[in-house]
Amino acid sequence: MEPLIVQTGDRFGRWAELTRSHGETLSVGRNYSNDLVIADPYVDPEQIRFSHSSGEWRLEVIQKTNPILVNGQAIGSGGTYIDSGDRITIGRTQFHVLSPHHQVEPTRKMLLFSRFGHGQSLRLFALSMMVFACAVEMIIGYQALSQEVNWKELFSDSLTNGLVILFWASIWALTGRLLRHQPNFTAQLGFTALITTLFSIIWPLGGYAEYTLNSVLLGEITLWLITLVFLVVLFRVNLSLATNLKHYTAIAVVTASTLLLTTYALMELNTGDFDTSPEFSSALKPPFAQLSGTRSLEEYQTEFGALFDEVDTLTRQE
Amino acid sequence: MCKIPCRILLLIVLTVVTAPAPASDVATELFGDNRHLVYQIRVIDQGSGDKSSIGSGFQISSDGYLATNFHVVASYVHKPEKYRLEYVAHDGSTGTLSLAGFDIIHDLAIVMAENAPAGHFTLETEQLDKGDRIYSMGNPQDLGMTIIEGTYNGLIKTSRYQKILFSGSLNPGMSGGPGLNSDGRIIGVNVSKGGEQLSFLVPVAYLKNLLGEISHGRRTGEYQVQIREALLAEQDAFYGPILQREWDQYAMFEVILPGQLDDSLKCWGHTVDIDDILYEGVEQHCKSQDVIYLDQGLKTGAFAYDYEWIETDALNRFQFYDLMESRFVHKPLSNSHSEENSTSYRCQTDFVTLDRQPWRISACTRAYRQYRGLYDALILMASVGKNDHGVIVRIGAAGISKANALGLLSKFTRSIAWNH
Repeated sequence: MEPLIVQTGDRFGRWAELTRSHGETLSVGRNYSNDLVIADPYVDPEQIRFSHSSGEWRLEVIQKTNPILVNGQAIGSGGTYIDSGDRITIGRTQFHVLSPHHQVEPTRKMLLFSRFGHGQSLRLFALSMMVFACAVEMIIGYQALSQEVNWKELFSDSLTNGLVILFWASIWALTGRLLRHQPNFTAQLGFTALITTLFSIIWPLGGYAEYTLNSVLLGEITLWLITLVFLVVLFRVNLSLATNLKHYTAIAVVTASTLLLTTYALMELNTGDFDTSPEFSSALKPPFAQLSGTRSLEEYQTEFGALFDEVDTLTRQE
Repeated sequence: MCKIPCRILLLIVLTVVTAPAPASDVATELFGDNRHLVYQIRVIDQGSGDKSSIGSGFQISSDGYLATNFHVVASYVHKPEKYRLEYVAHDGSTGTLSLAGFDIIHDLAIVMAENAPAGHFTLETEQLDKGDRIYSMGNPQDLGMTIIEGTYNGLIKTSRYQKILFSGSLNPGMSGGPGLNSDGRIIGVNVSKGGEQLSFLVPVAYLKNLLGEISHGRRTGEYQVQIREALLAEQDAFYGPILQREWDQYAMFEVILPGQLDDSLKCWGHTVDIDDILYEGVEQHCKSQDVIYLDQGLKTGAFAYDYEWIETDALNRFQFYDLMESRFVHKPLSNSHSEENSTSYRCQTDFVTLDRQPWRISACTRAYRQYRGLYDALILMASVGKNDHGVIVRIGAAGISKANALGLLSKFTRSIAWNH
């Protein structure tokens, strides 16, 4: 006879809490006389019993104050036959029933840790990434200055950037501690620093795209795309370190796109149709960044003239 | 000996000698003789039945014409269905007013009073001399009729629409009141204040013109059409000669730019002077001195342009262009239109080659909804060919026609040259 295994406490990354049958029956309820005692005030003292008959396991109802669900469906007082993998709900408690031969999920391959491992090299990686992040932030700040070199401000900006990365990694470490019982703080820190720094380096490309292609629209699209890719990669890595979810990439794409779409929608909703200040392409970059050709003065004047006709049509719209 | 008593005596004598006794007498006399000819003008909100704005006005003919400022009655002109006009005489009696005509450019309006009493001011024909004592009457801040005394200081030269400089202190509510010489004849109409003891009057000649046109029945037709035609004609009168004439050149380091385009503009120069700064900046601003009041929150007629030269040997090319980018903003016209009055701006930004150097030019325009053919135009230009020096040009013109805006862009850009 195959034993029945009841898996409660369905938590990833931890020994599952299993109760194995030793005989032909296994009783479940709140009384301490049961084989599996469930401390849930919505569960009856003697609620159900699994019993083995003619090669199959059957769920029998003994007491029923609240409905008993098998895979989300309520069952009657007569009980029902059960299969390996079924999810049973009694009171507010859920558990699975399994046979010893129940198929387990294929082993996943680690992508991030194959090279770094968990030891000294990971700590070294995280530390160097943090230094890299702060240094890049300082260089970016230095490139943007024009009035005078204010080292204090550069340091403070770069440290603030470091703190934000630290905070972000800590949140994910806490999430990991809760969901996987492993914080993985060092790895979260290292990868967050690496990804945000790469983002800071490529982010100005939006302005260059606008200037080079002479198009505000293309510049904006570039910026949103860069941000989307950044968020997807960041979420993908954070999730894979902090959870055991199945479809990291899909979840990261959905989360990042939802976030950006919501932001975009909010921005659009808060922008009125009327503005007293002009919206125009204000990007100016060094001479090498100018790839789109120049117009002749005559062409430009024709274009400017066309704007008058455009605003004339606006006056006719209410 | 007799030190203190003698000093007191001397002080008394001096006080008596230097006191402006005759002038005060003139003011007292003028006030007494003319107070019954000066009125408070009220724009009454029909909905609430209460006054929404006030100003002053004065009688200029025996048949009941009162002169005031356009801006006093502007809300009535724009929305006659929402407001009505009323006068309050010196004795507190009130009466109804109707609009006879207005001159939006010089901020004048003539209204007709129902049951106006007899008597009126005479409009002066003789010129005044600088330094002559002149007087102004009106009802400041609804506090009651007052008279103030000041000095005639001629016509302002840097002004698109001639004004008298009155060294006296006008206050809100006195707009539209009479400016008098010591004989009690009208020399101008109170219009605005420029600072402490610095006020402006509209010369009486414009009032005479307006009165003449009204008498000949020439100021008729829909108010908005009259305003539009006046604005279009005025901007043609201003930009026409500018676009015709040969422009002075103004050399700003390596680049040659147009100089002062008209005598009515004022130009100011300015060098950026901050310790340890990593660049050198020189700016020039030129600006017309007047705007035309159309309605609350709606002014037009401003014209201004700025040049900014930036040069550095301490910034690298990325830093230099970050600096240029931060300065690459359109000139604010600050005529704060609302959606009711104008459209949003539409802009065109492109690379254009001027005198063999690449420039980034952004030109924007928006249309006035009520006045077809009038626009606000903004032009912004930055030279983008060098890594360590460049110039930014900003031009702003409010209430300009398409032809003049295009002419301005064309002539301005063609006037730019480099000292290679």
